[in-house]
Amino acid sequence: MCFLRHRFGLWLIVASALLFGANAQAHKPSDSYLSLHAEGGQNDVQGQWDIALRDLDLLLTLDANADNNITWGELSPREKEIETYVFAHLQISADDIACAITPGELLVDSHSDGTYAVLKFSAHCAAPPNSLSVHYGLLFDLDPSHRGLLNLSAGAITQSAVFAPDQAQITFDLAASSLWRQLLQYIVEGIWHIWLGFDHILFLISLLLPAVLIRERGRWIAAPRLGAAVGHVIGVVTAFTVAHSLTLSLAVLGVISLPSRLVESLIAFSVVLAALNNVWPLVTRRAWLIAFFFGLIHGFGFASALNDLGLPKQALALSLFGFNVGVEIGQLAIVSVVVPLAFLLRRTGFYRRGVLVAGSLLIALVALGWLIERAFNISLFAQL
Amino acid sequence: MHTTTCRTAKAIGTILCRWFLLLAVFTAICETVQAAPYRPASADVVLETLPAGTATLRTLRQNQIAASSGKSVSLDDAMLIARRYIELGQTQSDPRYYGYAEAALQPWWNQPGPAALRVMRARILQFRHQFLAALAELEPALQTDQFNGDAWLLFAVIEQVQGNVSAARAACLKLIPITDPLVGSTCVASVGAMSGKSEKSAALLQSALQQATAADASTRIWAWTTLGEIQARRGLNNDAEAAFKQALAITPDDVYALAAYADLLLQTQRAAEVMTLLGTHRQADALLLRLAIAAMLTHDAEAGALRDALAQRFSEARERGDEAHLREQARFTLELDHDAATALNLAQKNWKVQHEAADAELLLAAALAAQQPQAAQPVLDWLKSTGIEDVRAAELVKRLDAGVKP
Repeated sequence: MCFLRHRFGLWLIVASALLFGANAQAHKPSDSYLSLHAEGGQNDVQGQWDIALRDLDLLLTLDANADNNITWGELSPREKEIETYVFAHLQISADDIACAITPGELLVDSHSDGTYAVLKFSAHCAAPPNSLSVHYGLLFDLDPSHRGLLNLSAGAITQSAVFAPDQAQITFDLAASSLWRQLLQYIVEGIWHIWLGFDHILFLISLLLPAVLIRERGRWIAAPRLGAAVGHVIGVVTAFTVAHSLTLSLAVLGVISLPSRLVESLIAFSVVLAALNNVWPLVTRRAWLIAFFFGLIHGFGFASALNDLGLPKQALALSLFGFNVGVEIGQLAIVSVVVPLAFLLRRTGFYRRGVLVAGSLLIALVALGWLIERAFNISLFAQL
Repeated sequence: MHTTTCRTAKAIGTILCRWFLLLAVFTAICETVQAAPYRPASADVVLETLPAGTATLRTLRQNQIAASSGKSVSLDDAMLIARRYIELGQTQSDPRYYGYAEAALQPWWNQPGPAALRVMRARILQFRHQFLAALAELEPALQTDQFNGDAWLLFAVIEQVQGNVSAARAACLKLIPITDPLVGSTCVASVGAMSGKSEKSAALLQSALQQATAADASTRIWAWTTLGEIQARRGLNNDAEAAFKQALAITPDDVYALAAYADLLLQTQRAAEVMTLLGTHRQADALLLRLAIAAMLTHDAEAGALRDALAQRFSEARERGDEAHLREQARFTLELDHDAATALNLAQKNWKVQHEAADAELLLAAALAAQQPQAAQPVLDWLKSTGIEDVRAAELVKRLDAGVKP
């Protein structure tokens, strides 16, 4: 009986089986972060390796005075020793010829589970690598659950991989063929995002519906020529595009970040306003201003969608560009369906009352529902 | 002409002012400074604090290596070290120690070995939610050592997590003659409550707890928390709360009891109290999740930051290919991100691994939110076949039914 009580906390046996939180507190399993960067036509591969101080302590006993604290004074004098040890456990070769690793400066950085030593290095290869092989063997003998998380960027392509005891060697093909594939993938994601995100579509449609009409003395009259309508549409679409591209880029690059609930609520709010503006027109001539202002907000929404896709850090520009192009293609597809239809129907009472007024009211109502849901974090539609 | 220019200038001024205001707001919100590697200012800067016991263990290991004088360490010595690591892993909730334990057992990792070795491997595997592999270690261990209480308890718990009620009950019954009566009773009651015997199970626990004043603290916390969970599923919220408070009176920072109590508070619209209960307990991911949900419900200023911290932990786990946190991730996606479709997908994946009341409720809630009642079918079948009493699951089932027949 006593074995249960003394050797293992019994409650812990049960709790750890039931609840990962009882296992994985602020602690997480041991990971190191290795990033490699190869530039086309260059012999050298630049690298950075973040290794947890706890792990280095396990390997090399950094805590010299055994007070359970690792200070910079204990770490920095060991720089050479650390470099010798860790780089003996990392081999990089270009087209089967080993590259010589030269360590750079030792720095530190914080990760979510503690402080890491940051080892910058460069690997000098005999020729610009076409295929790059990495062999990783750090810590596996002392902690088989250790993983090496590799992020490899070559030009605009980023690849990631995980080193484990049963996968210690990985070879990458650096040929540029996958560049186009990756771009295409983000374009498709962009198109899907605008088509699946009804809030963006409804916002755009709300702004486009009155484009085929002209407001004069408090009444709508049909735009005489397609040219006038197209001019209006171009203004709205361009303003929307410029604005959301701006904030999308700023948000993805980490220059600005807004809480997603605020963004999502403001997007819903923008749809309500744009739709109500068709019923009780306040802004008629400068609809592009609305498009621009709220386009800034929609850009943040695109950014969070793009971030959710898991952005390759090194191919940020490429994915940003691809996603944006996709969004514009998706948007133009909607415009090219909505505008001609609206132009054909613009003289009918059905269009002015049924589509413009009733349709906009309906859009406003739906968007109001979103606004309430998002602002107060409740779910209206799921319970209907 | 002049007035027009003035007006235009004023308009531009106003617009610029507004932009500056907007920029100021952005700058204020934008506090997420991109971290960059740095060189500490002085030698005294403490960069990392190692967990308590690191030095002791290091000495132990070095002594062992020295004592073996070049020969390989014996299995007994390796198991001694591994046991210490597992113990540390459990008390400090630190997965690294399980890795160290595995490393200590490495030469024997793929060999049959004695029952004690198998139980140890099972514990490591169970920690990683590799339930089937863990059971495969326990079965032969129990064949050679039928009186191994550790093994039977672990076996019962794993079977229960997987929803195998009868196998779990059989293991609990084996425990009764060889362990503390409270251990056996709690095991039996916890399984009984999964098979339509909630009232009897609660009564059994209550009387066992009354008689077991001498039982050790960890057993009593387990028993009280189990009682609280049974009462909560029966809808007896006051009784449940009293039981959780008894558990927390023994150890105020017990992660599992705190999580169960927080769930009760969240279910009874008492999110503000969760903020107080868990305010200082954010290291454990399970508690951080409940705290973040409570913060969202109470519109707390910290809500966004808590959500982001959790998201980062999940993304790190995903990066290394870790899928042991599906339940929490599904709940996070459903309740904090309101992404019903993804949450349903995660809850379905989780259901393949785990079959507890909480997993069932999660899949029901996700199916309801995603308006895909047919996705809940496996849970409906399971609820029916086990006969488990669960007011929350019953409520969700009712709402699903109502949704199906408009």
